[in-house]
Amino acid sequence: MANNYVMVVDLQHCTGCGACMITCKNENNVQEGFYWCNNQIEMEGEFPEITYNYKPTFCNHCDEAPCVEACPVDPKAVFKDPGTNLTLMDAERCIGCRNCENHCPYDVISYNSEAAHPFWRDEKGQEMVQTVGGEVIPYYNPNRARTWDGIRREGVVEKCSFCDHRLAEGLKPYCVESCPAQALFFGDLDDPGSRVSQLLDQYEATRLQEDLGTEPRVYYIREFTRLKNS
Amino acid sequence: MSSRKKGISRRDFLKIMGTSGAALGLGIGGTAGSRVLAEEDPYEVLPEGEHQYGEWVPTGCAGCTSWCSLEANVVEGRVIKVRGNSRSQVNGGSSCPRSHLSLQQVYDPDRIKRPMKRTNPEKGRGIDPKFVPISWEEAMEEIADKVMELRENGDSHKFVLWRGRYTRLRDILYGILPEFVGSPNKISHSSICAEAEKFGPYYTEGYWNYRDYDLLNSDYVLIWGTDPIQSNRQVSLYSRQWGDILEGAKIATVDPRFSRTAAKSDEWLPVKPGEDGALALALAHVILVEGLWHKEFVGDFASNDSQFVAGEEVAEEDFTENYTHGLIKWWNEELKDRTPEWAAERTGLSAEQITRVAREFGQAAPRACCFMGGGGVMQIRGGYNAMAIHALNGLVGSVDNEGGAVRGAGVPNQSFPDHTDFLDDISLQGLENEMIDRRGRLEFPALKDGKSGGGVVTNVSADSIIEEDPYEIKMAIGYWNNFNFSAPETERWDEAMAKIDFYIHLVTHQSEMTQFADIIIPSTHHMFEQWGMLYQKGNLHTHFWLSRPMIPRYWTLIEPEAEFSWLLAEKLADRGYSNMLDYFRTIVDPETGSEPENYREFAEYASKHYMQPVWDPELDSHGEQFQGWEDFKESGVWNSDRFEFKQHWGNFATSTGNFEFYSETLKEALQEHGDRHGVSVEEVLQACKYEATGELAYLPHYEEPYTVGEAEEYPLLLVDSKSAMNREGRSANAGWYYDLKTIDPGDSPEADVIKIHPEDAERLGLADEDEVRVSSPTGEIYCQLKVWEAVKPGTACKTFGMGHWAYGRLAAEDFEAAVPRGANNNEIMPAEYERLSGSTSFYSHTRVKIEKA
Amino acid sequence: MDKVEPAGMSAETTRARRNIYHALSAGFYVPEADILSPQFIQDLQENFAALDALDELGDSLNQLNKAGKQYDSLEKLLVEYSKLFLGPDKLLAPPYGSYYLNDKTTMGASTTEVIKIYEKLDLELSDSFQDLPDHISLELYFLAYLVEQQLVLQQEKGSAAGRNVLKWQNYFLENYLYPWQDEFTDKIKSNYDSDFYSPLADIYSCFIDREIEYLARNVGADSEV
Repeated sequence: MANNYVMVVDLQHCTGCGACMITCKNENNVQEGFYWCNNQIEMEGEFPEITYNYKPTFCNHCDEAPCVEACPVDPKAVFKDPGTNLTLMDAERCIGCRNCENHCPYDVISYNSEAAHPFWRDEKGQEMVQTVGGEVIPYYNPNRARTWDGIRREGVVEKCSFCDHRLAEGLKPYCVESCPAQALFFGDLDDPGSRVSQLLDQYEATRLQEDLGTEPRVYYIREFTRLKNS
Repeated sequence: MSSRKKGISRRDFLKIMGTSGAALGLGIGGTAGSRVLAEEDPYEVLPEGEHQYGEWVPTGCAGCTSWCSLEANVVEGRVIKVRGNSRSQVNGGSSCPRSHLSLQQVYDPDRIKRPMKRTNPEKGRGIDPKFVPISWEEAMEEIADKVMELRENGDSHKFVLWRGRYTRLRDILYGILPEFVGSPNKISHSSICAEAEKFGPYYTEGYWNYRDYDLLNSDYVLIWGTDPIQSNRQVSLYSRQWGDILEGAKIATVDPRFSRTAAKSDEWLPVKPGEDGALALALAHVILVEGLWHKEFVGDFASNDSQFVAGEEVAEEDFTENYTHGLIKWWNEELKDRTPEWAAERTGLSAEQITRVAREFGQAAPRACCFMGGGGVMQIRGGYNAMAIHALNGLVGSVDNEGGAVRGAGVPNQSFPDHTDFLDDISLQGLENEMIDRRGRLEFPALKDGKSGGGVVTNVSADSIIEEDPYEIKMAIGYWNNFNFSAPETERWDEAMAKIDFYIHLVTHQSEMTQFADIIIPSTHHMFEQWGMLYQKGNLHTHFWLSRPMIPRYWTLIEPEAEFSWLLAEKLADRGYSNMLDYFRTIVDPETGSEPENYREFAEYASKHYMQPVWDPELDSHGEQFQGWEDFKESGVWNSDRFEFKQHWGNFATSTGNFEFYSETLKEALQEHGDRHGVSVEEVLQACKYEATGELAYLPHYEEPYTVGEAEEYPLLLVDSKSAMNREGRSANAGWYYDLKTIDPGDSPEADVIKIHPEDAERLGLADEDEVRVSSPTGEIYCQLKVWEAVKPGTACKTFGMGHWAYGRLAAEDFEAAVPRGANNNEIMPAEYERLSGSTSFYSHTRVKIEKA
Repeated sequence: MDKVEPAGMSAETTRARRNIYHALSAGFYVPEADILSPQFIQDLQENFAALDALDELGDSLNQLNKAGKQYDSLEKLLVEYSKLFLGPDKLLAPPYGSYYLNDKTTMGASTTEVIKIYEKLDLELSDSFQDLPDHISLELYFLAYLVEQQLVLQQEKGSAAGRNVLKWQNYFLENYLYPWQDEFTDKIKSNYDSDFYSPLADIYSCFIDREIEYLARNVGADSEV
């Protein structure tokens, strides 16, 4: 039976610290300038009545995924994984047409127009890697390579996979595990005992751009800001 | 039957394991491999490699003063991740975002990898030092020769040891080594770090330290000039707890700058820079007038009819204090006129907001907590602000109380053996000299722990070198520091460092200060490559962690505190001066009694020695217990028992034993300092740029903010803040630093920005994204303008962190040509001080002008 | 035997596949004189004929045949081989899986995986093999071994065992050779104009494509019977 995986973000607990962004890069060997995990910041009001709302963002793993729809390859290079309901990518099949990137309303897909991690590919960078090990980068995480390119090759797209390589081991996505504020929750919505189910029962939730009908799998509960515009 | 009859001859590329090399012929179906082939499913037995969990090795982080206990993930001999050590009662499994930058620090291609020697005698910013690699033998010999030369010429005191960040092994390099050289000059960075913040608690409750705050049990939290979920302090801990603290408490944040902490508060009080004292006094005024002080702690009027009425004095005998001292004096001399309306005029806040916050804070007593950081007090006249802000905790009885401002526990450490018997006459004579930071001079009381000259005045040592007052400095060692970047009015440091004949920098990167070095000794990274330990408090506990070497040590790296000291001691011994080495040999392995035979052993034994009461079950200690060194190493962190409330009520370490609103303790310290210089207390205060006279000198009172420069020429007040990605100025060569720039509110990943309010932008004819020149009476910097609504009009906010002209290819725009990437606030910040504590002033005194570049 | 052999799994087909793997393995290794001999090309021709593949491969085989006659010395072929696969200059077509699978590195994570597979099957590199474990020649040689084992085990333990070996072939091919065949053969053909290696690249590419299809058809075929 397929898992019904979702992410729930508790914005009251979120401090906007960015640990999810940085640990995502760490876990998935994502190069600088690429953001599988990012943020949306909205500020409103006039000084000193300011509201500041921060949302960590991820791939929404939409049920009605425009990226999958847009992928012209058969079989699809961007596809819904039947076992997990995640939206995953296959680097072998990807032809680098970037249709998925152009059709994603959430701007979460990046394209490798050149070899990733240029900082590490010069003489000094390579000297370091040759000395300490790793692949391209010295803090390379070999586990990423178990289900995808460890570092995505030139000419293909990439994005958040909810750490499918960790899910396969029974581990949570690394951003969830590393969030110092314990604001991120991940689990199976079909399991009524799961924390995500409980939170979504308890709180009203929103998703990004729900009107598009993409059915995102990332839910936001409660509020980031405390300050109110009076 | 299936043998090949045609074609080319066989190649033999594979063979059965362990055989002598016969070709893989036919009919060999009976091997172990063929059973696997016939029966096992490759998709199951070979799941595309195994998940590599590696090993999680305990360590700790000194990226800021939170000092979290962490674990590092070592896979194939590489460290690839860090996380909070869940065994810590302080930060637990939480680890802040900047901790992860340590991975890009330890594997930074721009790290210094071997000892280097300067070949260009000319020194200055932008002048290529022309460093060449040398062996560590050669490096240490040159250093030893220079030490011997100083000692032989009676110049041993003309040596200075500067430390920045440290582990507790600092006691060796910083605490002991200069004495063997024969110099009193152990100059720490502490006064560019805090000190004024410690002044308030010391001169009210006798505690010269950071406090711990029991926010989870608090009903009202007043965050003052700090930013616990963003930059400081205990960021990992408060990141974890903030959502829950918000459940239980109302939070108000006092800060001219809009921070994430402010965004996640119920109230934001953007006080005018420098007017923190006015606000604190008005809050105290309302708490008293409305009768909200905590009677159990502070006491009460004898009669129910009596009360505090604005503008009216109270007879001292009408009020009986319990655990406090001098409330009525404070009221009569100062508070009675400090109305919310009076404060509103100065602070730019509304009287309604001031009254509301005071009332709600007071109503929550004693579970009302005022969390003080550096922003409101590291100001030229910030010492009394620190007292006033901390005194709020006294008024509501939250000092040393549940939900309030509490303390850490002592840790079971063991000092190193006494070394004084090993010091020779040259050393003893050298130690008699005045220290070069001028501490204790009339204008630098630095009253740490109540003593005249008890604290450090870090930033003034540059002037001392330039002016050769008290004397010339001929040789210096700096470690884990970078004053040419981190201390205000950096230009003075460029001049001072160029003047020093022989400078040795022990450092991981080629920093600004390194550009002036004659010898560079490459340092290990404290989290992964060396022994080290630190302790810190939070969450009502104190933890004490150990870091250790956990990855191969490549190149020629030397741990700066113990290993460097040992190597120098060896070379000095070769030159006939063996006292330091003889002493070091007394620091033995506590388990075996073995003397250290080399620098690596010395560092390990010193670590075991320092932490022996933690791990040795034979020694008495409190808190968590361990079975031995290996047992402790597995955990990597010791925790104290939970803090016990009210343990200091009635026995505060003040002159009166009580919490002092009228500080008898300060009175004694100021009088002692005045006596030392034969002047009155008023004259002391004048020399320190304060205006108070009479009894106000001993009371938290209002002082008009002191700024440098005229408002007409420099219309904006600079508000300096620290980037959440800063590992104290050492992380700017990490790529992730720039990728996460958006987490500093208002900042941009594209450029280093100075932020002003749209009104000011319009008035000055400036637009968003203009390239601008920002100047002050001290200097000028170039960066980009950001027009941002959340800036207090009249101020200009700039995050500190960028602006390196050295440090590496990412940190500098052009490392070779010394062109900075972004701009360093310290270049335009005048070197000023809160002189009573010795603290450098970072906030509220810098006036700036912004023009299109 | 009462079970029907699936269509393509006759001993003749299997032997032909094995022989082609062997020939290609030799073809991509440091050439010896017999690579230019008529036997090499004949061998390929006969075995592809057995697979009914001559329509598809006839042209390439003819080109290879012509090349074999043109090269008057082994030295010329060695020069081309060095340029493409051996060095010491920059390799025009690195023959290592890890180069393509692990971002232009050699001895990357995929190399370790390949070693683990050899180990799992109780195999190690012969002393005479002087290159990395994920060199194309070695991987093709390994596949030849797997196909041979298919024959042996089919005979000794029955068709279920033989079909299980197909799974191993499929696993190895789809994870360690197929993903980089296009890039590899593109490099051979576009980076250097070799009369010998260009057609060999085509033959290799076409064969691997056929193998992928063949294995997809036959792995798990028994469950449909």
